[in-house]
Amino acid sequence: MKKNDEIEKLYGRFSKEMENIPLPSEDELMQMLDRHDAQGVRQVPFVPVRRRRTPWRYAVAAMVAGALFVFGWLLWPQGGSPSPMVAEQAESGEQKAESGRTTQDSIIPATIAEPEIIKPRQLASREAGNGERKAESEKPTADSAVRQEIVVPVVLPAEQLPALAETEPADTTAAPQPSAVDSTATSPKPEHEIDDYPERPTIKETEDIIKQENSQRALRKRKLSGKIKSHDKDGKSFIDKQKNEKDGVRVVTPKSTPPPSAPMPHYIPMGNGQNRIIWY
Amino acid sequence: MTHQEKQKAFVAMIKQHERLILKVCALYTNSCRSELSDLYQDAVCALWESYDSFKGQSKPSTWIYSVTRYTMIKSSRRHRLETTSISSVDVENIASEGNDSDVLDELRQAIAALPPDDRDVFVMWMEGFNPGEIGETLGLSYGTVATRITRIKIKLRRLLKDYKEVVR
Repeated sequence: MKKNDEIEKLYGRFSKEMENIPLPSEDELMQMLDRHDAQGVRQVPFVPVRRRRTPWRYAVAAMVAGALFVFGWLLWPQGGSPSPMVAEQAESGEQKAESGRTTQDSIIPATIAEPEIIKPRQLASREAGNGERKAESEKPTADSAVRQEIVVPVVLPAEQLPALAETEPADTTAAPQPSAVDSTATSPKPEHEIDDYPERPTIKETEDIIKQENSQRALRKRKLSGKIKSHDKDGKSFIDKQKNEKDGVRVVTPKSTPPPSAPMPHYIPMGNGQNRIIWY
Repeated sequence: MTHQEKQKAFVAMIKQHERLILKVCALYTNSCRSELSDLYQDAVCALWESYDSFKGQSKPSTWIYSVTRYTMIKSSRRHRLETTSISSVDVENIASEGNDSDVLDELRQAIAALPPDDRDVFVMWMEGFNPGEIGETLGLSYGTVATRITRIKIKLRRLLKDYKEVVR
């Protein structure tokens, strides 16, 4: 490897320049080393970093865990009943709703009607209608300004219902609601006879609907995949093709690709459910 | 061997290879001429600290080169982290250096553009180490070192050409 090129020359110039830089003599170097030794080996003070930091970490972790536990205990429902905080929130929400509602009540005192007996089923339907009623109650109308009634719903177990239904007075003040108990009826209907739902389709009707839907879905799928075409490549309609096939005329569509030269397997049915494979 | 004798032997060895230490200091750091003496002292201290580990199995120049190179790499990393402000004294120093540092700058620019492995090979080759010694120090085979030297030369020639064009 030759060294006589530009880079070597440049490095030579660089070396010459380095020789011009003054460097400490032997005595100076000895003094420097003595000074270095006098300073001693640089000792890094031993600090048990992990041991010092660990209690802090544990303390912070414990505090976070404690906070999470307390919040979890307050917010999580215990044994099905709402936790104290949730109950408080619910109460405050009710109070707020009441305070919002009684702006008109403060002008005209409200009368408290007798407790109405509501079955669990009715309660569900009533709750569904609560939204509409709330929206209506928010609108100030002439009637609502005159008189407002507070209805306190009471849910009773099913055993007490027939006995109470007999003694129930006719509620004329309450708004008409979809209730199963007819106040005009002489005797209340048993629970199993009450039917709030519309007529259900029979099993046959359901099957027909499912079949229809399935066929429609399959048709849609085939249309989307492009399997159903109105015309073939030659421009003949498929209806004509099917008709010809029914009449005994076999329609052969020419293949675009020539038959392969390599032998292909041909399956000939043997009659016993098995096929014989012949390669040609 | 007493401490005094050990110190004397060390100083004699350093004096023998002082220009090698200085060149490594200059090539591995972006320091100006005034800072070179400080870097040299740092390198000598580092060599003195690790002098006990030198068993004499390799050539003293190889050991000195390795320790100095490592110290300079560490120093340049430290410098990169520190933010230094240019004082009026530094400005005067730079102005007084004038055209003397042109060669140094030119070579530094070219060498700095090389990958670290290639830089080591090149500097050692230029300092007169043979490919076998270079390979022993850097953990490369003889053939690899020889190939790298040829490639580095081509690369440096191109870099220097570009540099000259930029200067002109």
